[in-house]
Amino acid sequence: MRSPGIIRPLLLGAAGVATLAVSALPTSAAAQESQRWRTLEASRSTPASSAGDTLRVRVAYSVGRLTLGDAKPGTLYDILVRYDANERLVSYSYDPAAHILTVGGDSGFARRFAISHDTDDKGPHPSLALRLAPSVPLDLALRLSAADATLALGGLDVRGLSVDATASGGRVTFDKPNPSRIPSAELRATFAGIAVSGLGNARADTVRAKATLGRVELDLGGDWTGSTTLDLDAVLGVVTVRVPSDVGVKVDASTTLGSVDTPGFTARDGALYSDNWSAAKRSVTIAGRAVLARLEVQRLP
Amino acid sequence: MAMRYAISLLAILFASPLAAQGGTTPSAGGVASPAAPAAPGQDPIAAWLDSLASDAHGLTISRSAVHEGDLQVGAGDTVAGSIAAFHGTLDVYGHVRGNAVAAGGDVVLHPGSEVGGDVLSVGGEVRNEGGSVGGETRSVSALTVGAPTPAAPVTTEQTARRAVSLSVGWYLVLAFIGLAVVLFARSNLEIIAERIRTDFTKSFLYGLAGHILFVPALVVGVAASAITVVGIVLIPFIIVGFFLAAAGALALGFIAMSFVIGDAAMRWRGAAGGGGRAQLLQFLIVGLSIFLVLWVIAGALTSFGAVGGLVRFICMVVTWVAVTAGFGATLASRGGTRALHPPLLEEIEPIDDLSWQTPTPVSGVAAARRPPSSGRER
Repeated sequence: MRSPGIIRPLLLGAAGVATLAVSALPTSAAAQESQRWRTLEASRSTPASSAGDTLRVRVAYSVGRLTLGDAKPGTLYDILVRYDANERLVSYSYDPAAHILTVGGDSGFARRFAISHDTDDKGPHPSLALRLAPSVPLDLALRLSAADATLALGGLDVRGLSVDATASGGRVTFDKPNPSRIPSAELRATFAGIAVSGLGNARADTVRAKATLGRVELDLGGDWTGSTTLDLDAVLGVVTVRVPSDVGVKVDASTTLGSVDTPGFTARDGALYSDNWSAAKRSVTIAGRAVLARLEVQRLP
Repeated sequence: MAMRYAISLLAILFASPLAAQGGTTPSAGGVASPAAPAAPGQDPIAAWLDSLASDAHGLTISRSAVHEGDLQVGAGDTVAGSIAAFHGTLDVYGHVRGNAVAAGGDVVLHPGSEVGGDVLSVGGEVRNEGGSVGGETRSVSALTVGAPTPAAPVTTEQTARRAVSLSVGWYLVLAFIGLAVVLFARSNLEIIAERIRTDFTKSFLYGLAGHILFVPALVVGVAASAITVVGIVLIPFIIVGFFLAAAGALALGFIAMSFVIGDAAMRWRGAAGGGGRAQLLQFLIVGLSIFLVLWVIAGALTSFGAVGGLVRFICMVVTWVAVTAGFGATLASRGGTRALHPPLLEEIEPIDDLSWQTPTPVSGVAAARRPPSSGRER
């Protein structure tokens, strides 16, 4: 008599027990479903007295989808949050005296937004849609953690920009020229990816970008003149800069077990120059450091 | 006949949990009541105002400012402080110097209206049709932070229905697994069942030992794996595999136990043992149904206080004994791979090389003459 295999019945039984466990879940989940999801919408009109003051916006958001764009004329801010009340506590505040809008708490976002699971593919997604006054000067600081962010800054008056992304994906677009100059824009990606398109429209004097185990892509397309500076750091990551063909580029980079890819550039005086460096009407100077990482400069058509 | 009965029962039971769930599952996507339920004897508006004041997005409003039902501030009217509509719509045509709030309704700001403070709708929306707001406009689907909301009391009927549907759910899943076992691992099932029949006490003690030694065995297994580098890498798989194997052994053992009980019940009724797959399945379904009936009775008696508790306790003990004995038999038979009494043919060893030969006289055997061939043969 052939001895029957042991694996087959054990697997059958295990699969059955697993089925039991899974089948028990929907009941409890469905029971809580109607109690969990909340929406919060808040808006404020632009106060006439402080129309020219810079609105400082501090956002800390995790585990969800964040969108940022321009609000209707006359509206200072418009917030629409969808969240699971069992998993997180949404907090926001506006201080009219200091002209600060804080969403999600300026510190300790883990306390404010529980890093939790509530991104069920089939169920509702947590999200934060923030719209800001197009006519009010803005100083934006965003901290993202395990979030998917789309920041459409084209219609806004941005005076300061800082994006700190951890384990997140961020897309920043400037599809229109920024009415004001940004003295310094900062982008940090840790285990994350940040892609900026139309960065030339941002009219930033200096852009500081750091990719740690992540990737930063800077597209300097857009309508801009004069010169700008990029200060780049890559540690076990990649920073890619795409520059329009008419822009003169100078790259001064150091590497430690890393590489700098600048096809078609000429080495001179310890730096790399594009062919049109001396003749170009607008220019970008790139200072970079790559540690076990790569810096890339590519030409836009 | 019994098989037909079992299938009919299965069909009825398939329908039961759906019907039961229909009564208990809350409506999907529903929005929670904007007002926290008041404790017995407490003013619901006062309770809601407490919640509103405690909520991160709420406001503080005095009880006297709240009106039940729809509310309207006329074009020429001015409200010196705040105003709120409870379970109604607040229409503002005139001026409100404080806050304008609606609970369970909308706030509508008509052209020319003016609100000095905040406009808030809980469970509704704010529709600004041309008014001005000095403060913030916000709408929330429900208050999230505030006074603790007491959970809705669960009725005894709901509890009983839930218990019964849980039993039926378990029954269906186990019946499905049992079907798979009968189809694909029939011999394992029969060997485990034979162990249970032959020595129930020993099987139970094996199962008890298995329960007690489960964690120590896991620890020893993990520690032994940690000796080598490859073993360390495999530790997560070993842990998962260990739990899966244990779960499988429990399920298989309980199914075998149900099969034994069903077999005994049917023989008691005088059924003859044919031994086919259909009969195996029949016995299994009958055995599982006996457990189902026990648990359904226990569930139905949930509201009967001590009696219900006692019945449920008895059910738990009976089921635990069955699971333990089945688990023990599964362990003892290595998952149904080692029969207690191996087939006789395998036990008989040849005594010597000649024992299997046909006895032949020393003088030999005369060869039989082949019959003459017929004419048709070619």
